Amino acid sequence: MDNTNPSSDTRLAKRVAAGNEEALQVFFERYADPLFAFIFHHLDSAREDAEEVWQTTLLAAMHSASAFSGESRLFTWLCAIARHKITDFRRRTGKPTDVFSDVPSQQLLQLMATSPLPEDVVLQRTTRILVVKALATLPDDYRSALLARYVDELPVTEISSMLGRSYKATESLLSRAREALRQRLEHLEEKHGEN
Amino acid sequence: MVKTNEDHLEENTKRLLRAALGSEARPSPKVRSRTLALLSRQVRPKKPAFPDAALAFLGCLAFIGAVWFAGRYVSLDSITATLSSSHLLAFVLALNLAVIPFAGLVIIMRRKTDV
Repeated sequence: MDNTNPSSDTRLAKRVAAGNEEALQVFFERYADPLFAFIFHHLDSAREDAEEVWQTTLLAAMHSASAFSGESRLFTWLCAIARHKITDFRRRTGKPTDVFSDVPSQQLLQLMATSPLPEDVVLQRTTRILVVKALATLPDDYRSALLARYVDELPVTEISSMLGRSYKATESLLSRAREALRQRLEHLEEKHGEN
Repeated sequence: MVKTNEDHLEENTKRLLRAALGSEARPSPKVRSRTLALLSRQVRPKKPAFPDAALAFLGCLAFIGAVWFAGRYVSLDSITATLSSSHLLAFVLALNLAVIPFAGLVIIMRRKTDV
């Protein structure tokens, strides 16, 4: 299923709302982990808090899945719910409100494909959140390949057998996935700059 | 060896992904499977419950049956005078039938209070 197509997101949300367990599995596999990362970074890496907010966000999303109109991407919609839940959580627990002062660095895009990124740019919270959002909106095969290669550190041979592709085709897929991620980051950063 | 732009892009992609989606930024397997199970339970369409009216009707029917059965087979004389095993069996059966409406009532009350 192609998650870059908004109508596919709408169909998925409708099927989840209709109680289709297979659709729920797809929804969970596709969005649950990036959503957790999004919440985790917003909550300054407080794991237990992130788990609680993550669960309530997923439950709320599932209960209002029929209201998803497809005007935005499904992950953007999930992030909007998560932001509300984070605010509720902070209010309820008396934890300080998010000041969120970092701004996405222009260095990110300028340097991405030309030189090593400075460590502070990589670790900046805004950067981490942008990466999560960018990754969540990539096609499934790009996302799986990138995560397997760079986070789980699997060799290309293993990824190629996992994806049922030849070694060459997997290398080519990874190259296209890296470029797609860079472009998504560029797009998101532009949008962030406009807001 | 001079690094190409493609090398830089690969290296930066790796660092960005590890910072954003490394193992610490993922839910633990236990919490993940527990959450999926919770969502599955919520999404599963609930089976339509047996209608309250039908339950009440069957309960009443069972109660009438119990009264009729007791009147036909159990008499106070028979219990006190000759307590045979068949009389005892009839008494227990009638008592069971008579209890059914109360069980139905409890079910309806629990549904109403959503316990």
